[in-house]
Amino acid sequence: MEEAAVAEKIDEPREETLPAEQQKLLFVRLNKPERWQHTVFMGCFIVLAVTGFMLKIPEDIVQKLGGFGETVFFIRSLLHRIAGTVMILTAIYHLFYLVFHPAGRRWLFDMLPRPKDLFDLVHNMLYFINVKKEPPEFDRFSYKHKMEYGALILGTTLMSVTGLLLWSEWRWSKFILDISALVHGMEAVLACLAIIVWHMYDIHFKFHKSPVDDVWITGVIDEEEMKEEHLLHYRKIMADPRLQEIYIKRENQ
Amino acid sequence: MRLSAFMIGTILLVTAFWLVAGSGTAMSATEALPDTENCLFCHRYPGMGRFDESGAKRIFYVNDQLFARSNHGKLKCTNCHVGLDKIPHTDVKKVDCTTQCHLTEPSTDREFSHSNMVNKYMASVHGAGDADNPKPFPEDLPTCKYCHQNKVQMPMAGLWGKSEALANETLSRCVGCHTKHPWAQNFYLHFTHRMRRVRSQQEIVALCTSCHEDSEKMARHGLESIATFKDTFHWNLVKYGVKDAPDCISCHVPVGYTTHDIRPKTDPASSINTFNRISTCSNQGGIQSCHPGATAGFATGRVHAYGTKVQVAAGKTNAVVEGVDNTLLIERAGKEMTEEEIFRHTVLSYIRLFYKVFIPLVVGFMFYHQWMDFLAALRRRRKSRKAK
Amino acid sequence: MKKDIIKRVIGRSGPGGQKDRKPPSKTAKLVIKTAFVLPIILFALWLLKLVYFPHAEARKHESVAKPAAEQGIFTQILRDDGPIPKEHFHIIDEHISQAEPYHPICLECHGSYPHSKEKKVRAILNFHNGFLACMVCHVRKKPDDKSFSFVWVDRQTGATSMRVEGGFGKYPAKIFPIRETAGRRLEIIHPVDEKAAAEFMRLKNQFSADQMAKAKIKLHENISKKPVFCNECHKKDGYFDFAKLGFPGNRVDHLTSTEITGMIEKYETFYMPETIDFGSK
Repeated sequence: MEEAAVAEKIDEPREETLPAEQQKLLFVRLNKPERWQHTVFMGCFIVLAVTGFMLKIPEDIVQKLGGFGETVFFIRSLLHRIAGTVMILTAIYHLFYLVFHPAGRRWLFDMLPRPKDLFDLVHNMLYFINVKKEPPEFDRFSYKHKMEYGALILGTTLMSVTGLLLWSEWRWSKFILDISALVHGMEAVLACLAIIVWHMYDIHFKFHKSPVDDVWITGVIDEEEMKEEHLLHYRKIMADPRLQEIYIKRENQ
Repeated sequence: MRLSAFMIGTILLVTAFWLVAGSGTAMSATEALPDTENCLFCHRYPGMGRFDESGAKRIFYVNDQLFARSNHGKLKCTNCHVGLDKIPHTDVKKVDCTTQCHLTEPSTDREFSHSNMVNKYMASVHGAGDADNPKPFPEDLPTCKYCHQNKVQMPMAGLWGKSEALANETLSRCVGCHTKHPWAQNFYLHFTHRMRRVRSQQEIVALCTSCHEDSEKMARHGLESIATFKDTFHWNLVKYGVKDAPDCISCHVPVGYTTHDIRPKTDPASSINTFNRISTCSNQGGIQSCHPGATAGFATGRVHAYGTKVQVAAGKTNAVVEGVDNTLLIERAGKEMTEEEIFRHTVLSYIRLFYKVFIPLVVGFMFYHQWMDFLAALRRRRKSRKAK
Repeated sequence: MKKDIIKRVIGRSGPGGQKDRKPPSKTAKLVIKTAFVLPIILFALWLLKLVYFPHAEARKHESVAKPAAEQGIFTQILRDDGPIPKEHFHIIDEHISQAEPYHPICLECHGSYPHSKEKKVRAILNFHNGFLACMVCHVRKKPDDKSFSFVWVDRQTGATSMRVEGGFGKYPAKIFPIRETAGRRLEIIHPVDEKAAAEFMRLKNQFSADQMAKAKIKLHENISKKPVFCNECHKKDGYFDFAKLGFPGNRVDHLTSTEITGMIEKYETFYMPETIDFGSK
């Protein structure tokens, strides 16, 4: 409370120039545990992609490392295993979160695919080619989010299982290991390309998100963006005080 | 990768000069041998050489100081270059490594010769076979010099840092009894030189692949190119220069086997024969235990990625190497590739195919979707600006 | 202080917060975006290459290793590598592979082993190439020419001197003939001057066969018809003053001793048919 009071005082001049902003609402997209999960997962993903694809760097470039090659390789292998372990643990934590945390249960419920998603997809494609004048109205998670989340769950499972198989290689038939290595590699390419094309576009290349969307740090978006991207959810929140309790955060809170 | 002669030269040169430059008390006692045959009268001039009738460059220069420090440093020129007694050398014969070179081999007190090794080698996969059973295209097969150059002996000093102290201390123990210092030193050099690998893992792979990656040469002998080694995790370790990384000889010549006696997979005396695989994978008896808990399922699988043979066996006739006689390859593929191997290869190639189709479908859709989204956003922005 | 903290906690995404900061210019934004996006796009393309062309690197090496039968022997020669031949057994030192920036221009065409005709002596003649420039033997001094002498020329820098370190063919320099000009300046003798050689090299692919024959005669016109023969130097008080170039006395004695001259005589008597005229007699 005290902090809020101070902040209000400091922000006074801005309020004068922008009186309308005073009542601006912030909408919670990611709560704290979700932000943590995202950050840890993202860190692991980057480390895993870099240390993993280091194996595919052509010979003549690797040779430039000279005597450092062995150390680099050792660190690479260690980091890959650490990041892999942390990622698996995060994934397991996420499963528990989905079941045992009320916010997690809401997440799971909102994330479930519905027929509307299919209609939204068609609608949006029609909007793209200018057949429909307005884009579809999205709920908390649009079909884009749901597809990505599904891919994430599938991808993480595949990568974890094949990775663990490769890690404990001496127990398994070489055939299983060959399949694992192949799937691990191909899935990694697919994951990286999907992240680059699908995810990076959404957070970096959209006009109002340049140079980077910071919802993964702050967890909130403003009313304008909320209306534009999650109109249906916005209406639901505005109509339901219980939802307001969860999803609305005033700027000075 | 092809083993370039220039590379070998450079490596030799660097090692040689490191030794010359770094030689201290332990090394300096070895001097160039007295040139009793006076070959150096001409052969010490670096420019000595010519192109021979086949167009090959021949270097006749010998650095006597480096030669004296080499494996063969105690030999006279004519011990190997037998029968050279005319100038100019019109009577020159090719050096034969089975020649008895008038050194006494201490364990038998007989004259030393490499014939032991050569005989083993001739019976191995790389040998030319015998009169009853000659190998086709014997000119493809590597001779001694293909793998062996006269290396400068590397003393133990290089094993534990570059300190000469170890060599000095060890030698000082020897010369108490073995009073001829140069003899003791030579023995020490020989012994410690043999204790280490002369070639790094990368050099071994480069050496073996200089033939075994040549798919045409391999097809003539019923083999496939081993470029597929570079699809394995083993190669990654070699590529990064990891110590004790698994190169060709780690599996094909593990502890207890010799390089000169590499046997075909079907031979029970081969390290990669099914029955020896567990021991080979775990590298029993070696300095480093590679896969200590290797199970039969793990060890009996295929190590190199699947190559030409399995494709041929699976009926892909276009997989054979063009422009060469492939009969041997096809015959051996049919014999060696079991139903199970073909099945495994088929499954793997279907998985690969699945991803090759799936990746562009998924990513292509994503790209299309986001690109259209971008265009729609542009349109929207333009409209809203106009409205203002 | 407090304002900063609060801003950091909640103010980041609010439009109010953004207005506090100066928005980056359009170009700056573009630069930042490109610097960020370009590596990612390259990475994505590399990933695609890994899936569809996994062996592109290996193939590159394979095509180099193709056998001569398919390539043609001259293509093979073009690809032959390095100064050290394959399967050379003895240890080679830096004298073989060292680059020599300052060299007689003849070697550009004739290579490092220029002598090939006289089968019995070519290797011996070739090693002289290691410390003598071609023109030492192939440009003959007139008997009474007092302006003609010899000098060491550094292989790396071209600096001249009258003595160098080294021995037995291993010197940092090569002996070149030198002439004192009218203006008392010393000039290294180049029978083929650099400009003419460069012009020849530039045009040689355009010459017809006849033009080439003519050009070669012109190019070599200052080369003596008969080179200086072995025993003209390897004898007491011969063509060449070893001592003047810093050879120690015992070395001079050796170079002009019967050991060498005797061998040369033996060559002349037994191994060189009369028809091969070295110009010595």
